[in-house]
Amino acid sequence: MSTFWSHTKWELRFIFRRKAAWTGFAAILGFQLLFFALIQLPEVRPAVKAFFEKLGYSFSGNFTSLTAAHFVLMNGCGFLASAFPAFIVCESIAGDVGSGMMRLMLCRPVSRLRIAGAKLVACTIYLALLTAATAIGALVIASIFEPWGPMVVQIQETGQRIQYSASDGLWLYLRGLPFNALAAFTWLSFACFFSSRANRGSTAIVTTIALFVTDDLLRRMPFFSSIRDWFIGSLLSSWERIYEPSSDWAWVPEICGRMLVIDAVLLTAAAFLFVRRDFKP
Amino acid sequence: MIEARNLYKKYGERLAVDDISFIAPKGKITALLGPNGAGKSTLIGMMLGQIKPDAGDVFINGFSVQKQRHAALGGIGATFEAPGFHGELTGMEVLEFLSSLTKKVSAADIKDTADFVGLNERIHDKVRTYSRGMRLRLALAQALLPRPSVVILDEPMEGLDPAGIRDARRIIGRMQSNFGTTILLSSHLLHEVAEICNHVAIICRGKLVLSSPNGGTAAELEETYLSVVETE
Repeated sequence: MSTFWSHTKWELRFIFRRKAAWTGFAAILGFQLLFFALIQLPEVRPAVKAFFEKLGYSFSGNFTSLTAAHFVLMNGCGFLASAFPAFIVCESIAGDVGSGMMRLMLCRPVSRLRIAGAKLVACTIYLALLTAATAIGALVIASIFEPWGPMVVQIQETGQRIQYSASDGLWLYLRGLPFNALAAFTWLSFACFFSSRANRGSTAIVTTIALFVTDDLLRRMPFFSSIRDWFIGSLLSSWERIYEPSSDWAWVPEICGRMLVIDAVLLTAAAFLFVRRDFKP
Repeated sequence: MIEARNLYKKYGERLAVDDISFIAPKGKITALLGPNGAGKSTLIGMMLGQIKPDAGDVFINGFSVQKQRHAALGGIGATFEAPGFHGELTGMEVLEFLSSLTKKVSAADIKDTADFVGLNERIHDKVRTYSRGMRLRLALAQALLPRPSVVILDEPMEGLDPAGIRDARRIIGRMQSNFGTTILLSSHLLHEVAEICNHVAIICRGKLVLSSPNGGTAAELEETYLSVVETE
């Protein structure tokens, strides 16, 4: 095994020794359980029903496990599934600088790029696992509380509403996983960028989350609806177009290409800063 | 051998290292002394390629740290004041990980090194359960694992109790006597330095103010140190 993969394996081991890594899974699972438990309450259920019927579909028979799983994935879980990998990458890079572990690694005849690369690959694997666990977890928990059946989706960016049979809905839901992971990877790239010069993991994660929240708050303000496409969050949620009934997938290269260009710019800048920086005691 | 040639480093308007040139002779223990903020850690950072000098270079066993980083760092081991490790790993895992960054080191070699620094009984315990002295032993063990000809120790005895300082002194002494390692040791503990070092370099406000083959007794070294530092 090459030293790069051996290092990546060690970094993965470090990630899963951190409580934060498991907290990510627990927080998402907890959020989903809480959401599904709360919408069963007699005080809440009528509001859910009214909200759903506003979409133009009858509640019974359409508010299914697939519909609910998709809803929870796009409202809340997506944030958590992006925030935790960003936190882990900040801890892995800037946190190791702060603790002094990075300086011990850099005493070895190993390139800085290789060290950063191994950390990035390990964090990307964590992100992929967390994204998969989030989507599968949402579906499994939703299946406990809600019946199986057709899927109703409202695309957030366009407001379009569509109904799919259970099998088509499930297939689209699973096909959305790589796009979801790609969107989360962009936040990981931002975290990587902010970590490349930071001396503390907390500084890098606070900066990343502040950017995330600012972007989301501004994007949702009605005054900015005409420039909504300019916001990062709009680009990252545009993968929801897989649910468009007439989707010919022509948008995939453009949307994914834009995300990958942002990632490439951020990671190149991060690599440049990391290689050029001084590691002061 | 470590050779620093005309090193300069500026942070903003502050000159941290000002034209320092000196040699840490082969097979000797060289003490790097100076008050807080004198530039010792910056100098050590430049020796390890972690801080880029604005001018000058450092040569480890004849290899330039700037231009031949891999060859220069291939023969070096280092540790820093209060080194941080992943607390959830065992001492053994820390040593396995750091040595695996370059090439795989056998478990027997790791065990021998742990024995050498007196860590064998606790090597399978988690690092977060280690005392400061145990962490220093671990730091020394990782510095020795590449079987280096040069070891750089940045304030290794800082914060240790008297027994810890005595143990550290013994281990450092044995590194030199058993392996002929060239050691550069930065410290504030003049008594310890006088006992184990063969060569002394004092820096103050970024400048090398003294480089002497022998610092004399602890009292003489203290007198020399205070006179050059107070003059500056």
